[in-house]
Amino acid sequence: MLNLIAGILVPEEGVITMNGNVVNSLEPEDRNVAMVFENYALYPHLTVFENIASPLRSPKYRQPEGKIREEVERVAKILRIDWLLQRLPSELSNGQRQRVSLGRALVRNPEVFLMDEPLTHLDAKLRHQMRAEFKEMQANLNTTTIYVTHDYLEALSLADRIAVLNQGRIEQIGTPDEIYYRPATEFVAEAFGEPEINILTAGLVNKDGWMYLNLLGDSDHFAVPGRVRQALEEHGADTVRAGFRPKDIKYSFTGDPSMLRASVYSFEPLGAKAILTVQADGQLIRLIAAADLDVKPDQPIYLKFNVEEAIFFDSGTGRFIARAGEKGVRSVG
Amino acid sequence: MAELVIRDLNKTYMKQKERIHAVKSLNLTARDGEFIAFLGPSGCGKSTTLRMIAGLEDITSGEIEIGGTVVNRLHPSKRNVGLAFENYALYPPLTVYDNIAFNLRAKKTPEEEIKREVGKIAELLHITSLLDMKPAALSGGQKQRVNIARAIVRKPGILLLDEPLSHLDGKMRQSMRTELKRLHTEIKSTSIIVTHDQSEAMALADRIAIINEGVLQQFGTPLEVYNHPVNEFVAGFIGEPPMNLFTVHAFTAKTGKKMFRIEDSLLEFEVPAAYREKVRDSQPYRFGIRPADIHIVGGSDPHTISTKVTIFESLGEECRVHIRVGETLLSLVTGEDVHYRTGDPIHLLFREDRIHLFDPSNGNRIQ
Repeated sequence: MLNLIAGILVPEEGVITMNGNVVNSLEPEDRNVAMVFENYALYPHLTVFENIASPLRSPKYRQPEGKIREEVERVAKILRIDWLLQRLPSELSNGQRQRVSLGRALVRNPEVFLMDEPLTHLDAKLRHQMRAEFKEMQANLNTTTIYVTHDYLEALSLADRIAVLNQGRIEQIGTPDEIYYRPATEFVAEAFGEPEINILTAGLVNKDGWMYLNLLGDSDHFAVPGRVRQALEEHGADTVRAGFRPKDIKYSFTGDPSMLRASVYSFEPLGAKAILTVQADGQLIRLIAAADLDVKPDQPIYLKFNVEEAIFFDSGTGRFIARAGEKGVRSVG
Repeated sequence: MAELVIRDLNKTYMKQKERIHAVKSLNLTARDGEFIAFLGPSGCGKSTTLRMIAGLEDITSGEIEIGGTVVNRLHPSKRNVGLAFENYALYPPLTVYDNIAFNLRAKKTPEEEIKREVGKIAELLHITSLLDMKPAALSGGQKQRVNIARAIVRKPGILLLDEPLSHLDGKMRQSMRTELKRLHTEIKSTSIIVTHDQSEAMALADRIAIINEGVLQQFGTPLEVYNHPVNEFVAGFIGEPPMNLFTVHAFTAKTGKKMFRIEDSLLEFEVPAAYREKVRDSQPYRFGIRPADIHIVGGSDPHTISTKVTIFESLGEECRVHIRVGETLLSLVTGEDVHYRTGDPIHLLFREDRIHLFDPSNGNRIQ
């Protein structure tokens, strides 16, 4: 899709417009878009200054030298690489190289930025820092930006809106909160969040005037909140899929009647927290636990599911039906 | 099952006429049934060590002992080890069943016993339904399961895993990690995993050996290396998001209090009680604090720093706040419910019992 917008690929059908003008038949260099790639593609023999200046020296966009200097310095300051201008790419860290390649895109004052996985090359530690730096720069740019990534953290952190793509189709377009709290499909729900959301098949049972979920071989512990109940009744199916984020399932080792019995499957400490996988009714469920928890495999454990935070999907199509909590409902104004 | 003892192990080799000292005087013991991770950046010597244990690489000096026997001169097949590498190396023309059975047949195990053993292992690794398939028809995760099944069917004294999850994509990697951890609780074989991924080492291992430039830095449980890193390298390598590390300068304020000032900033805070006797005025120190150990508090006092939010990220499970300090960012992790905006004033408290201090001259922890 990014290549179609850039003009590298030509669409078979449909139109792409920028500022109201159809650009389908425009050559890439006439579209005023700037691309930033995963690999930085810097000229190794040119200094940082010359690399950033290179688009301004091309025959098409040629600028007077004084103007070039001014522009390069302005951009370098935003990116905080003004102290590196005389260095060669080989003398830079990966993070600095990425900033130079951004600088080269910025200097043209494009109408649209196209970024193709610009942080994927960096190791996990640097990525965390660069993502925040990216966000800091973005706040100062105010240019329409399309950013391609497979990393859900980058999408949630950086984007005003996210388009989730699956096999060439858009599954959902929405704000990060909408995507995370009200995913349009099970695919979207599973793509955001680590550890992954637990999506379980649940029967709907009416008992004593309440609606309950029949989940994991148990129908006593999951009363459906009123707001969702109405949506589920309107939906009409007697089986749905119920999604629980790992942090919305609490555990205890001394069960009380409000809890569901399960057993410990595995425990993976990760420093500040741990992933606890438990087994109930033959299914594995992931929870977040404290890193210093002392558990033994197969030890009994009791679970409390926060149905208020559950996300319900159609059991056939996997499409969103309802969520009790208000989170992710777009606020007006 | 067997104990593994590594004594004064060294490896040197020539590369482009230069002598490379890849493993330097390594000493460690993996107890019977323990799950050990060799963790470090690429080129640190962790894989070389694993290959020396397996017998695929000569030992320059030192000893490797498996189950009480020094194996330095033993052929790989005689060392009682099972190997699973990053690239699966399954035999393409053979079915999954025959791939797993291969080593047992080589040992002339009776077919009936092979059938029983392969069946058992296949169940353990959830690949029973794949036994009649050829490797080409399998996904990456399935191939890795077969690969591991083939390594453990021989009931090796030590199971050696070289980056077994690195080839898998994010989700598959996570579920295989869970399965690998579970598998270890079931087979209880002494296991060594080589990885460059700290979260993999933390999640899987009973103890982690952190290696850098051929030298063992620290050998401890996941909680030990996370909470008490012995040096700045370990501190920075373990943990995601990574520990904040800054240079601070000690001084005595007009109030008589010992203070730290963060380099390239005006941020100052009182030296934690535990370090007051240990730091000297005008000396630089490396100061470390994990993002989860910084609290946002309501007001300021000498222990807090007052600053402004540079960047706020809402990431679903958690939020992160970043504050620009010179060339780097100070990052902290918060619960999901409070949202901040760029420029919001904020008071931060470094949890006193979670502060790490390192000597800038050698990187060692100041106790």
